[in-house]
Amino acid sequence: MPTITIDPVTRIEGHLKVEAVVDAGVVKEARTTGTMFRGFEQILKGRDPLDALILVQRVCGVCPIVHATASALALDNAFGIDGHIPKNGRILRNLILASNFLQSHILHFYALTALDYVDVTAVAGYVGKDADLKSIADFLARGELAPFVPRYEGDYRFSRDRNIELAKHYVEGLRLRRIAHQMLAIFGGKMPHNCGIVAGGVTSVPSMDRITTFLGYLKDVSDFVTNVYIPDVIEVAKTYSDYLSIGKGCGNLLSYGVFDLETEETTLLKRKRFLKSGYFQGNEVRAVDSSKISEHVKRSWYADSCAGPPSNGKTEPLPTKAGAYSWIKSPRYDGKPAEVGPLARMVCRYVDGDPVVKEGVDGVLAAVGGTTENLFSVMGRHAARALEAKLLTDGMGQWATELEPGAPVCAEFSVPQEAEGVGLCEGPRGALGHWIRIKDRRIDNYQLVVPTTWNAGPADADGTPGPMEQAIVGTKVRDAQNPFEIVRIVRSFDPCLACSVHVLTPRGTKLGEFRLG
Amino acid sequence: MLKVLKETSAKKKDGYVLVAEGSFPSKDGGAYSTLGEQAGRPIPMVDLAAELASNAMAVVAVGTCAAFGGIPAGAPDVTGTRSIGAVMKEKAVRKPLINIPGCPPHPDWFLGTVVHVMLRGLPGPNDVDELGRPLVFYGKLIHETCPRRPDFDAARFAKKFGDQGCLLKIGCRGPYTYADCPTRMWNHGVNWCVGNGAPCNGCVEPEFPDKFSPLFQKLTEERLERFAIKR
Repeated sequence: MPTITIDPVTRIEGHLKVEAVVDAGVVKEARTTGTMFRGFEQILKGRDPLDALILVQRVCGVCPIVHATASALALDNAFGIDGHIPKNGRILRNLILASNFLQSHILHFYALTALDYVDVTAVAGYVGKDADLKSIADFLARGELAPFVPRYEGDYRFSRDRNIELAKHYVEGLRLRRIAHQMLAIFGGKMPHNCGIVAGGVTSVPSMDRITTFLGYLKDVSDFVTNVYIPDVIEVAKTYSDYLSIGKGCGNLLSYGVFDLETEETTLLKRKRFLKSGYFQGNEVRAVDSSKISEHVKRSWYADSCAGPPSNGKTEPLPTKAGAYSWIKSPRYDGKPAEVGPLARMVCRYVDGDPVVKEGVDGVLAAVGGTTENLFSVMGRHAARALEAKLLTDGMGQWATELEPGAPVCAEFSVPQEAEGVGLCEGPRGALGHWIRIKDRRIDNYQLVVPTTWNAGPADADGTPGPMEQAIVGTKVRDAQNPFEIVRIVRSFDPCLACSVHVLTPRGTKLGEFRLG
Repeated sequence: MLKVLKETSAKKKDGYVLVAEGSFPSKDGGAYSTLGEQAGRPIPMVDLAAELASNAMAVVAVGTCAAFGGIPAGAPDVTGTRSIGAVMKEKAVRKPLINIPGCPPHPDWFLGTVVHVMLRGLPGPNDVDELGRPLVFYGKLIHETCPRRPDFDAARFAKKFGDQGCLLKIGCRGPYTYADCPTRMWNHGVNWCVGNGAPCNGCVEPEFPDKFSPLFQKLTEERLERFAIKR
């Protein structure tokens, strides 16, 4: 059986290799490999606990804010101040993080995904007046088409005119993403790697002028999400409607919840949050029980003592361990793989009966002629991401008006000699947890279980493949030289390999190979 | 993608600039960062980078990891990772090297350097400091141009997050850090770390992060002497 090897997978965050074993045109086995490892958990050990706020953000330049958030929540918990974050601090943390969601989602659909479906070379020879389109046409006229080409060929379905219009949206998306970054920096200091979110709250006291500028940028982003991003997702879903039934995944969804609406409740999974926590399986959503989260290392290159709940987690690499094939640990909920991300968050709210989410989701399904089953697909994930962006722009406008200029932003704290803390929240790509143990006022242990580890993790001890692998298996690949189907599925998960930290390698035997590019 | 890199290296010898981002792990044969495959084996990034550097006209290191090793090279240096400059030295690749450190680096610092190369060629020895950083961006200490300098001079210090005043006592590395953040600011001039009430952590310097740690505590005289941080 030939193996299709894609290395590197481009237009994602980070370094990923995918191998698909194909039999009679259908994927029988899928193997995902992260091809970079840095060892953050070991780097953090022995350092001052507050340094975690700075260092963990460097796990990833696209979603550093969510790592700062999880770290701050873990420190709040360890320092015993988690119930006392001032209102301004709570709201500003939400505004900084939500701005990150917006830039990330826009980046994902336009810069990373769009060119799977939009043929940007259609703009060659454009003679109209639009400056963005002229700049693309000029670029193409140079004759050196990298990075747009080489690419897969043979499945671009839009007309020339539609490709040109969508290419313009691609450029607009880059601009709006920059605006979302500016919005983030107003209260976060800079992006990437903000310096606003700290233990106890944030560093900057809001003033009316900053709030005003923030609202101005928010309007621009909100208009784009409503008038361009969501309609574009619907149009792509209609034109590539087979992808409403491709890439189902494992069907279990997990969300820890995010965007605190209060801080009195110190058990994060029970805290009132704008996007609630939940575990979806079958047809219902249940409360998340953190004791059901564990990491398997049976097939991973770590000492066996590294298995178990993350609070006891360890990262001791053992590349010579017999029977192991991967650097990634396999997170499991209640022993089963779970998908995390916008789909998980939107489905949990939908099943909960949230009227705003129901209207948004039903509207998109009606527009594409689908049912809720089609949410578990490539296009379902893109739609969930876009709808979430709209939910956030609406929410952020409200939150910003609740800020009190000049009021306190940060609770006082002192670093204890010994403590443990956990920070659970959601990033653009899904559920994130940080676990810290402090001894002698230093970090004794720090573990991160990140969204892409859930999604792109390997088979566990029972041999059950991870969510992304499951989404790829069973897919018909029309043309092995241009395996659009595989990369479109991978990209729908919005993988962030830097965050998954560890390295995955193949499972199963290689019977033959077919290397591409 | 690999094809584009290899073809450029072969066909445009001395006609391209290699931009390196991130640091280059060398432990375990460079297995911790690879790109593509050759003869069935993953290609270590460290080897690919050395090969591409050897045919380049010049090398630009973007970010503190590429310039000085950065956070992944922080204790305990899990993957044996090095700056592109260190890789070039080890593999005897002698090419002009421009360092644009920062965690992250400001896009203006990179873009300004690219435009300089396009319009005026490579920066000369009087255009860069002893660490290879363009003086137009890295020529002054943050402490020299910081709007909170009057607070420092009048000894008005913040004691905790959210306080007004100079941030020296909660960890500001401005006195030891060369960058134009106070005037250029970040994200289209919207804000910057100290302007946001957060101490500068010296992210453009080789001392970031280890020698500047703990990042939220004032650097003591003892630490300054021990690590010979002199500015």
